[in-house]
Amino acid sequence: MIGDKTPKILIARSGYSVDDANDRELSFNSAWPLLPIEAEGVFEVNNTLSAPVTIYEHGLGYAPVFKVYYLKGGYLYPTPDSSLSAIGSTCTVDANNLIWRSVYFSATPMNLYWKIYRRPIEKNQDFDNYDLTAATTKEGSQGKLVIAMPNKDTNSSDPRDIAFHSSWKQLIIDSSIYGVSDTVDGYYTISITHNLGYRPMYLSYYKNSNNEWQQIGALDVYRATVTTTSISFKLSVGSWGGTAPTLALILFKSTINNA
Amino acid sequence: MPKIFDSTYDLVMVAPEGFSVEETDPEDFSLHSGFIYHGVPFDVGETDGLEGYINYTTPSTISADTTYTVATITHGLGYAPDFQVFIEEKDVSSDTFAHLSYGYIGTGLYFTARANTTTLQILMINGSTEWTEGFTSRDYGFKYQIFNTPITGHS
Repeated sequence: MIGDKTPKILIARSGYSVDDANDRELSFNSAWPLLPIEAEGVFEVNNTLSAPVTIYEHGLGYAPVFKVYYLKGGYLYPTPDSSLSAIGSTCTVDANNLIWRSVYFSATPMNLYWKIYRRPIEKNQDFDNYDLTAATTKEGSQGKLVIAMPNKDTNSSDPRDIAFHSSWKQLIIDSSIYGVSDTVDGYYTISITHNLGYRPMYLSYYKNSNNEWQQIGALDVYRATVTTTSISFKLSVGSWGGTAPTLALILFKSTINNA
Repeated sequence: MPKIFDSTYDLVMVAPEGFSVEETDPEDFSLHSGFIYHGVPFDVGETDGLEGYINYTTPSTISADTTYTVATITHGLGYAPDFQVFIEEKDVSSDTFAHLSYGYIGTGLYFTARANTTTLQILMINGSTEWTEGFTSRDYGFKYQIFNTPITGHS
């Protein structure tokens, strides 16, 4: 619990002081989790493959948070794709593997670039909120914590060499939830009451019929209602069909709008 | 090698309250130098800010089979960085959001984002239907973050 005098480490972002920084002005609080990258790689989808194919055996014993991009025309795009013109690819995770499930893209080969994080999708977690009052900015030089990759220099000018930099805004997890969705006003819904005082960023996943987790393509019938006190991720019952799906939601201490 | 986490690279380890670093599982570390974390860098030679918010109003006519560039953010990192972009449906409500890509079911109209070694672009891509109402002249907001980590991995 913040404020209970328990020893902890607080680091403010550049320009702020830990004496009065709010949650978004801190880059690190030892009481809050970050999203550590466990593994990353590339997988080539081509016409010789027959889904499903194991992309990577992570062996974590739980389905981890993950992200996948696809390469097309020299650009990297996020998956899942939400067009109806059939571009992209679908990947899933289970307790042991990252799996390629299908391609909805006529031209192969196509490279998928993936990352797995050391955090279960199936995790319920919440923390007491922090002081929401914005800090006054701090003048002058400040101490900082910089961790370089192995055999790299903390003074490197290449951001790829840095594993953690306390002056940078971090992807700090506020809370997470998973479970069978509720049915509310024609939507399958999963919600978190966060009371952050601002509208936070999020990640969402669903458990498919193979009992694997995958990301949800965002559509006008699959989106979120995000307020300063709560978030509800909603899937239109009519569009989704079937029974209430198991959903997961992860919130971050970053604003999703221009506040 | 795909594996990033190196438990032996233990220069910095921070355990949460109630744990010692010796008994903490990797999932539970508040910070461990054997991992890589996403950060939004600054003062690294970027041209545009690596976090920002963009307002966009769709044109009064959305032509068929046309791609519109909503925004081009020049990150200048020299590699394609991890990113995330969220869309705010301002004309629906100030509470309605989704991540990109984001589309309108049954229309062929969607928004997406893409990165290369110099830019992050936000696009509106329309299919075979021309729109003169409905999706036209609508207000949107886009929040983006560009991270230090490369999409194609640390080789």
